[in-house]
Order: sequence, then C-alpha cells, then structure tokens
Amino acid sequence: MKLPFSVFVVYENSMLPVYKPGDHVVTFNWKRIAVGDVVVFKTTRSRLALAPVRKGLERFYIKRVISTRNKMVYVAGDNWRESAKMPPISNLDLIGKVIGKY
Amino acid sequence: MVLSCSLSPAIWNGLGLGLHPRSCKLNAVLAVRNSRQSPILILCARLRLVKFLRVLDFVLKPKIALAHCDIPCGIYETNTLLMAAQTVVRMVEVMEALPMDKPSLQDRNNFIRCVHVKEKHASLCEEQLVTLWAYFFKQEHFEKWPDLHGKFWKAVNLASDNKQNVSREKAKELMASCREISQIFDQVKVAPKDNLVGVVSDNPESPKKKLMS
Repeated sequence: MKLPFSVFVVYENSMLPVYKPGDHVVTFNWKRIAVGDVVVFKTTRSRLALAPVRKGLERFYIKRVISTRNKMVYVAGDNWRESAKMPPISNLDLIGKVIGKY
Repeated sequence: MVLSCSLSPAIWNGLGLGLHPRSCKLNAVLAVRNSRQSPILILCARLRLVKFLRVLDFVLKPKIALAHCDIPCGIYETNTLLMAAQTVVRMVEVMEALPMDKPSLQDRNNFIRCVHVKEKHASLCEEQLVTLWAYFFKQEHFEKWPDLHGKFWKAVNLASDNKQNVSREKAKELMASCREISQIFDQVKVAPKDNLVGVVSDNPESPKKKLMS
C-alpha cells in the first residue's frame, strides 16, 4: 500500500522552466494519471535492462506524460535539449503525480 | 485551480506553490502579470512559506528525482577502447618481464604501478564497451549482426577477467574482441557533424590504424 504523499527534490535541468533543480515537489500517489501530468516514477531495471535493481537502489525520475497506450505510459522532459528519450513506463513503476512544489 | 484564481497572482506565486502542469498556460499568464508586481513582495511571501513548508522535510525525507536522464551528445568513438585494451596487453607483458625471484624495491614498485594501470585501463575498456553496447548500437544493428550481443558480452567479461588475472592470452583475447567490435562500429558510424570539433575517430592519421593492425 502506497503512502498518499511523497516528497522529492528535483535534480538536473530537463523539466525547466516549470521545475528547476533544487525544487522540492510533492506527489499524490492515489490518483490516476492523465496526459499532461508531471509524474515521478522509478526505474526497476538496471542500465542495460539485464537484471532488476535491488530494492533501495532504484532511481527516481520526474517527467511529463505525453501518452498512454496498452497500460504503458510514455514520458518526456519539458526541456527537450537536455532530455533523452525514455522507454515506456509500466503503471507499476509510477510513484505519483506531482501536485505542487515548495 | 479555484484557489489559484481566488488568490492574488503575486501571493499565489509568492507562496512557492507551483501550479498544476496542465495549467501551464495560466502559469505563463500569471508570470507575465507577476512581472508587474513588486519583486520584494513576491520574495518575502516566497521566503516565508518556503521556510515553513520545508519543515516537512524533517518528517518526510525527500528523495532525489532525476529530471535529466542523459545528454544525447552523439559522440562515440573506439580509439579509447582500443588504446585501453592495448595498454592491458602491454602491462601484462611488462609484468611478465619483471624478475620474480628476489625482486628489488624498484621492481616491486614497478609491479604495483603496472597492476594499477592494468586495473584502470581494464575498467576504462569495460566502461567504453558498455557505453557502445547500451547507447550507440541500436536494435537494427543487433538484427544485422546477430552475434553482436555475444561479442559485447564476451568482451565485457574479458575486461573483467583481465582485472582478476595476469594472463597474456586473456589480454590478447580482449584486444581481439575490441578490434572486432571496432570494425563493426566503423561500418555503422556515420560521418560526424560539421560543427563538431576534435572528433578523432574519422581522422586517417589517428593512432587507430596502428591499434587495428
């Protein structure tokens, strides 16, 4: 069971201008996401997608949802100059939707 | 959203609450309006609430959310890979040439330095291989060369073996594997962009020719 809220600190520039490095963001984890939402998700695969990442060593990413197809979520950064393509994300890897920054 | 409309734009923005991403247009409108407000007022409001809300961090420790995945620079080359593999071979040769019976202090020093350089260059080789494997080669390349995954797997493991062992055969196998991968890389690699300066992989006078022979 997920907690309703999580907090994260944004690192790096791919979500500029809305989310700057060092911004603290709050996510709400009990809501279904829609296209246009900014979400935080975790990577459960290693860099080469060969082995699952051990619990506690996951990396969290913040990106904007650009489409959803076949229970997969496609995401991208706002600042396309510094954001590489990300593979589609499974719904299970989503942490929550960003509802505010402080 | 209702709250955002009911509050003055300066106060809302000053509270430090980022608007919902869907309301980006509204955010932009507010930013324009806010630019007409006193910056001191905005700063004061922001500082007060930021200080208050960040008390939350003592309760819920924030984790790092990476916004940036990787810079798609598109610069790839195999000179470093070949040089690192060649260095591993050379270090093994130098270590084998050192006297093992009653080594002098100088010999011991040289031996340790060789081990250090071998370790460093085997790691560099491994890193370069993984970068090419994960980022340069695409699905169509693996379809064109079906044994490419196997070649990379073998080369990465050989780099690791060379860190664990001092073996001329393993070092030469690593060099051969890296050359094979480099040959495939040369068939795939397109000409560099005009505005890139300092790309050495396509320079005919580069030391690559020597390393490949």
